[in-house]
Amino acid sequence: MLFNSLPFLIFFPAVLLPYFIMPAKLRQFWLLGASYFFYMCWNPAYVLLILFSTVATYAAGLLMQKGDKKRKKAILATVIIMNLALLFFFKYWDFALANLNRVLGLIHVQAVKSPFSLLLPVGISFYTFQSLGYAIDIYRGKLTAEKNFISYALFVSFFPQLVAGPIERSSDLLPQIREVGKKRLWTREGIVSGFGMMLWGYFMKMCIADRVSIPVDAIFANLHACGTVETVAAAAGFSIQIYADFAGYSAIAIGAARMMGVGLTENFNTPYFAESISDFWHRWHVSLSSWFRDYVYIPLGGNRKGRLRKYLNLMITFLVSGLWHGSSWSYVLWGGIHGFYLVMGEVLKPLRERILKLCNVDREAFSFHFGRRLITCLLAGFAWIFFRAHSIKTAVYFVKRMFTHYNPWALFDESMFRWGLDRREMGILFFCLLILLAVSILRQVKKTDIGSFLLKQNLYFRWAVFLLLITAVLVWGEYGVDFDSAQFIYFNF
Amino acid sequence: MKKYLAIPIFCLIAVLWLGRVYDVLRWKDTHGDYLSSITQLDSLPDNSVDAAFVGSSHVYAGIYPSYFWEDRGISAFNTAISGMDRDSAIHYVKYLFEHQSPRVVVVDVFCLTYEKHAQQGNIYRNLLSFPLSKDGLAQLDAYAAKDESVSENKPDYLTRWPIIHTRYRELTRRDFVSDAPNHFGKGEYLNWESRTADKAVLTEADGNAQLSADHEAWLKELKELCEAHGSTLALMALPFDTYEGDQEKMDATAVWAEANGVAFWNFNRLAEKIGLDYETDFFDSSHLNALGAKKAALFLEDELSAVCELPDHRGEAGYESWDLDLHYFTQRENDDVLAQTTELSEFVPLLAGGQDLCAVISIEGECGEEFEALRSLGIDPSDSGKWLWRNGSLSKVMENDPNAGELMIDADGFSTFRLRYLGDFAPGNVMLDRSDCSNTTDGCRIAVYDSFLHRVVTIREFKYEKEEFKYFKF
Repeated sequence: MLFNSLPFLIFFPAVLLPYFIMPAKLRQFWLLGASYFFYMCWNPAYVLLILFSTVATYAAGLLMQKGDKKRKKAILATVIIMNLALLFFFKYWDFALANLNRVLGLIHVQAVKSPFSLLLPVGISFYTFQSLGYAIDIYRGKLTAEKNFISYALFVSFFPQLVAGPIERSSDLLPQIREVGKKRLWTREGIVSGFGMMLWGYFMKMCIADRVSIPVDAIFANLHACGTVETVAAAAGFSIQIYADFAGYSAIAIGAARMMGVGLTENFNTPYFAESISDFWHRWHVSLSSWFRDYVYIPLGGNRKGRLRKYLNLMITFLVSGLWHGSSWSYVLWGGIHGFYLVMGEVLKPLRERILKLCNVDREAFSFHFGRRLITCLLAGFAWIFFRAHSIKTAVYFVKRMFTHYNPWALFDESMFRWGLDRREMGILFFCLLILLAVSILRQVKKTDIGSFLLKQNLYFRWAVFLLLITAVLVWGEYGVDFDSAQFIYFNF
Repeated sequence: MKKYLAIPIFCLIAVLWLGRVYDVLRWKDTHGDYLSSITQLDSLPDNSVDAAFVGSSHVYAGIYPSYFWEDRGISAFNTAISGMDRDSAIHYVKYLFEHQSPRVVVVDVFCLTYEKHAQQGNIYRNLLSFPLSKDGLAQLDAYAAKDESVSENKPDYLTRWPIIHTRYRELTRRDFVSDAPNHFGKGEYLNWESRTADKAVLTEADGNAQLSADHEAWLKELKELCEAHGSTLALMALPFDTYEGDQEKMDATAVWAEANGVAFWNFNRLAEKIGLDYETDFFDSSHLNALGAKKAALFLEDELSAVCELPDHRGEAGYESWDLDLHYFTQRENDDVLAQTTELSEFVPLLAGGQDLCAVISIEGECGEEFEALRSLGIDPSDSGKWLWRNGSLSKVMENDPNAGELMIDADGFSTFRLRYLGDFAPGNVMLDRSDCSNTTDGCRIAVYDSFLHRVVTIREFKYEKEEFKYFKF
């Protein structure tokens, strides 16, 4: 059940309205049932996986609460292995086997055939990490184990963030989930701002991400016909697509939860306004990057064990993060590129400082900040090529075409309108991008999300914006019979 | 609770707003001149149709109810849509009976020649033109059972918005303003264009052809449906280009019809008797034009009168829309003739006799004796300037004077003339919206606009050929 599908548009109000009026003690049960139903819409059998992960981490939490340090360690190790084994089996089995067969091929040994035909369970990477975060927090003593199984099961499976995050920390979400069963959390303000967030999310996903994906997909599918202009446009286009897609999804998730009175972590904070790659990762998929920071980078030693070790830890963290995104070497390389950016950023910092001083660059000037943002965007955009290409070979070919087939005339001969978006559609896309830019600037300046911003505005303005967003989504949104609607990109991870 | 009141109010405003947006975007047959026989049917007074024709494009191209009205005062109506298949036909007939009680229902059996739609567009036409109703849902189920593309996307067809929302790419004035003849038309598609058609190759009917069980059941259902509503079923097959097996199906239909006491007219076999001319009476091999429709109407008027009594309703209250439809037909026909007339002496009387016409006549440079025809309108050809002809009255609205300024004249609520004089033959002297209707040489130029049909009829220039230049030709 995709957020941008008719079933969800029926499902959500059908869950929300009874939730508003039912007695508080029933609300947890209601939301848990709705969340499991939501998950079972993809594949009913896979509900066993989430149930297994829930029961295992719930039990582990209770056991760790009572045990001594040694026992706690053993329990944590067990629960981590169990969860990661589940993740490995369903997500990385085929990848591992393909790599094994490649090695066997080199030594002329017959390839091993997979006895399984596996379908990636939706959201497995997200709820596995959320559960692991809970178990590790209890092990560290930051959290007491949740005794109420219903509360815990709802924490793992809460449907707005179940399939693609944000990956919630137990210290943030669990207390709210407990309150769901005790008192009324929802408010008029929450409903209004949550609704605004949801509309904005739909706008980003359906009007921007799905529209820009049309030329991007066409270019990636026909690289042999592309030169510098097309490849640069596709790289820029994909940077926009993945942002609008994932930030759009997150906005819908946050908005839906907010309408129910539950606050979720802000997952995106205008990432393309970042002035460095390090800054970028403080703004992009914040719930994941902070998870990796707290549960991978810091346990590895973080920056506490010398410079070289810090660089190594950064590289390891980003390589693992890349692998988390997908079972392909291109994702690993994408993570590696980001790790490399960060390491080089640290290594070259003294040199950069010296050059800036030598050139007498005004660090307060707009142009300085703009330049830093531009460079960050270019670096992130370049890395996205490896993310999108699905194989290193394709990515390398893409980059090769970018630098060897210089064709500036493509900017003027209207051939750019032949990649799936004609003038009108391109005009709509740029109009939507202008709105996205305006909202991003608003976010940057006002330090508030669109839902909360609209809440503070006059009623007539808010309603006008709501109506315009609804109309834009319904009319300009890419969906319907003739449209092979792309799934939310992050569902595949 | 007061602070929550805003939520239902907002929902109400949103529903009203989206209703208006839907009305603009809703399915319209943009490749069928925006005509909707369902809209036209819904606008009729209850129980006013006596003869209903049901079928595909063959019907809306070949049956002009305006002929039946003009000749005999028969209140005929076409419930026709491109590629109407058997399922659609049943549901359209059911829909017809909801508000009408025709004495005879004539169903075109061309749909027996195919099982599924070859074009996605025809699925849209048949499903989306039909109102969302119990019958509409039954029709959707029937389509879904036959067509995978429909069954896979059933919710989209049901809610419609997922299909129609991309119409923002093709919106025109007609999406915002519903033009004639949608409110009074009788389901015909007027067309005077002629093309040479291929005559259907016919084999001798041996009287042994048999219908398939499905086809027979369909015909039986139609017959029972009509009988249940006190109506008589008749069948026809308007002329079409036959493929292998098609004619056998028509012959089998004839056998079934005879056995069941149902009238059936196979126009492919009747072409000679009716006098259909394959050079002039067809738009293409499977569609008649206005000339062919006239011959079909003359034939059917007699035949239908033999099937049941069809009273003359001319002049009766409740049948005004048939008069309006006839006026529309006449207007279109006259406009068509006017647009094709190249001689000024023939053009001027047609203009003078036309109804609801607004014309700007611009005379610049010299005019000779061949412009004398203008005098019948009241224009002295030697008197240059801009003249306005509207509904039979003439007025000179502007002299050819550079100081005359600009004059705007609304042809109707949609189109406006702009007149000025920047010197003889200057571009932009006469503009009709964004079309330049200015003289390009000595003589007169006439821009004719039909304010009933809201469209330009013709912009014709009659050039004066000076004596000295005439010799250049030799």
